Amino acid sequence: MTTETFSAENSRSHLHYQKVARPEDLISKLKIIAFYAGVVIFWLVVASLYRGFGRNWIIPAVSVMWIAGAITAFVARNDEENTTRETRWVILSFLGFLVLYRGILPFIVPLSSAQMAAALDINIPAVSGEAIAGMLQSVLLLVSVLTPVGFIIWCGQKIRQYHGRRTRQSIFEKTKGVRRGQP
Amino acid sequence: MSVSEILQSALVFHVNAFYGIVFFMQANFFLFLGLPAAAYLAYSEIRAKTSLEIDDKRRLG
Repeated sequence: MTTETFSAENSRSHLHYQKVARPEDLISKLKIIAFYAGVVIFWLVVASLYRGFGRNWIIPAVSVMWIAGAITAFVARNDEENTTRETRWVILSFLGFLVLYRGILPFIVPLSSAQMAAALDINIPAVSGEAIAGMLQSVLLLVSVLTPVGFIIWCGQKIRQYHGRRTRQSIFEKTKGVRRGQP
Repeated sequence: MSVSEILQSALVFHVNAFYGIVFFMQANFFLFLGLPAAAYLAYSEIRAKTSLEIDDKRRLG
């Protein structure tokens, strides 16, 4: 445990400030760093699972999400902690969905309409089997495109809201200045 | 092997290495853009978290 003591000699009450660096603080910092490192490794693993699609789309899309989150955290300082936390959870959820989808896909795709109909004891038209394959492809494309786009819109809205709040605050300050005779 | 030959072969190696690095950067362009942003977010979260903690003990001396 490290202890730093600062004494203010000129102060009237002789206040002593003692800054204590606890091991728990270091552990919580290391946990945050490890979490981010884990998300980055997971990002690379998911991108490699999707081969060409991962290299050409997942890496740029997640990269843009990181950048949008970092810019929002930098600009909207009042909500920095929430922005960082939400960014990493959104990215982790997005990657989690992609890895689950990649895992489930090989089990769903080979199922024919006849097998499904026999298993469930219902009548399924043969054409619907082909429609399911197309739907799975569309789901992947929609989720992988709309999630980063939605996240960027959310970041933009957050920055806009922050600037709106700042403008309102500056107007209040200006009004107070006018009242005090300091325009 | 003359000195000029050694220098020439060294230059070839360095030019190849330079191209190798440039192509690697080009191929992983978005990855190199995203990594500093992720690092900044980690730093930002640590800073935001530590700024909320009260670790100053004040006592009257």
